[in-house]
Amino acid sequence: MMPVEQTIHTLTPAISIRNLNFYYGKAIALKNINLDIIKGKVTAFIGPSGCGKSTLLRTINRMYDLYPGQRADGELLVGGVNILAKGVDTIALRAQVGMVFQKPTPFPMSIYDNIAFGVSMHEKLSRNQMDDRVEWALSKAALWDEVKDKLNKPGTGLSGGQQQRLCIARGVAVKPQVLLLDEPTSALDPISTMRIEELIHELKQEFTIAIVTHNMQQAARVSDYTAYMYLGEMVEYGNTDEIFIKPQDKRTEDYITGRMG
Amino acid sequence: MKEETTKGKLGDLLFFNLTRAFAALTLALLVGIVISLIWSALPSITTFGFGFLTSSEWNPPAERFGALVPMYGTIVTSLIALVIALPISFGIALFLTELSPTWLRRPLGIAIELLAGIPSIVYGIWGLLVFAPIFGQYVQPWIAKTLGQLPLIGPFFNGPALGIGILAAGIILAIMIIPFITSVMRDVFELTPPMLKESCYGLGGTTWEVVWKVVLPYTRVGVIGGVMLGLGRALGETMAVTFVIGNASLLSNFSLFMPGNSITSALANEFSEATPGLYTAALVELGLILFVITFIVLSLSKLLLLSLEKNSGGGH
Repeated sequence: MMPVEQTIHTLTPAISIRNLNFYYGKAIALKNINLDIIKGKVTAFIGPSGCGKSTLLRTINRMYDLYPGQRADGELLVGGVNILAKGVDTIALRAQVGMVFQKPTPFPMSIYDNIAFGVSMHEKLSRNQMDDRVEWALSKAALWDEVKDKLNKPGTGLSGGQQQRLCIARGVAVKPQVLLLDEPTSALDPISTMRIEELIHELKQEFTIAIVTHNMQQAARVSDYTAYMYLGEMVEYGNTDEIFIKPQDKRTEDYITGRMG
Repeated sequence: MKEETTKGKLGDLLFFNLTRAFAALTLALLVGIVISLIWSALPSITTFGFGFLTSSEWNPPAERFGALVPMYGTIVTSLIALVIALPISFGIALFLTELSPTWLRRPLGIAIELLAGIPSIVYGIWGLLVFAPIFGQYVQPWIAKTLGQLPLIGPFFNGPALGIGILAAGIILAIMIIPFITSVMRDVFELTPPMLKESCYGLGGTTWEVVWKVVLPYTRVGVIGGVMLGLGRALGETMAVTFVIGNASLLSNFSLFMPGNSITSALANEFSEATPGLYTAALVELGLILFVITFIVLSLSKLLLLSLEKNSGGGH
């Protein structure tokens, strides 16, 4: 258990967000967001649909770059570097900040290649080193025992839960600092969901994790810190226990007690 | 109530049989064409046997016929067309779906569809009157000086710079099939789920890695379909090829600069003047061979798909 007196401000942030605004064309989607995502912890983002939590996640790895008309201003420090600045190497950034999506998205290749592909984009490894890395990543994602005999089979042949763990392994294999999970269990059955949640507990030993979820029980179960967002604003951010037991803001309380959202 | 059900059932039954009849018609047509081709070609098949495929002689007065020259012309021009069109189409489709600014996508897309709509005879006339003179005067001498000097492939690029010839026909064919392959590729590239592409970008992939390693494997069935559509068109194209291939039944060397003949242009040029009997039968047999070539190409593409399925699996 975390000591209660340990406040967020005294911990090392992996990501610092300062005065962040985000726009889809002319529409503003994030308004003046300020928050630190703490290193080695799990931070959950909750809030009703359209509140901007996925947008926030997509800002951290500059995924919005792919779409014309989407832009962000303010400061977003990853490892001390403002990644919103011009001239930031998004390829290097995305190697630092992995992402897992709502639905499993295995690449159309073998299980082995699904892992090795991402690694080979950033590192030149020998066949042996790559074998080790693939085993390491699949073990981290608690998938190794299930797939070690069929590494050459297509990744799309796995079950939904296995596919999602493959996607997590794929992200982990690149050895990022931060893992962004965008509703990683929304397409999965309860048992697969449970396995992913256990996995998140394991992974936070080595990675900083930010998770967006619609499932408040999930946020309560997996996260150390929780941020409640509403209509593009950060309403409340703090220790998960505090947010769920005694929220400071009326809007947070309404949401987590089910009166809204 | 009961009446309605009966009516519905009757309607369904009628519709089912109607569509089945249409489907059966396709099969009947195919079988009919094959049978009538074989029947009409029979005199030539019995006279020349397999020698028809290996003989390069085409001598109507002496009634000695061989299919080697037009077969060679058809296959080689189509291959040249494919080798040129495939990378260019891929590049255009890649640009259109991933790199182009949004405002440019529609006009470019429409331009490509318009190119696909130009009648082949226009390509033929343009090829003969505009392309071939320029090609013969400026491009061919340059190719002969560069590619022609290389070992192994050198002999393909030597000879008189006539403008028209097998290479010119292949290039015109390439221009004609680029719009087909491009528009199919663009359509299937757009079907790739954005999340799948984002997954690859999210790992730090470049646009090239995303397209080459994710989009292309994911859409391979559609891409190969588009390539086959283009190849099919190249194999069967008549008018444009006839204008620029030179229509010479010669096969003295492997130079792509030399004029040649293709199955379709042999048919188009000679059918009207062919005397009934062995000459006509030989021409029909050429048609039958084209049919078989197309069938083989189609089968090879299916085999290719099967082997890709085994190797990487997944996708759609």
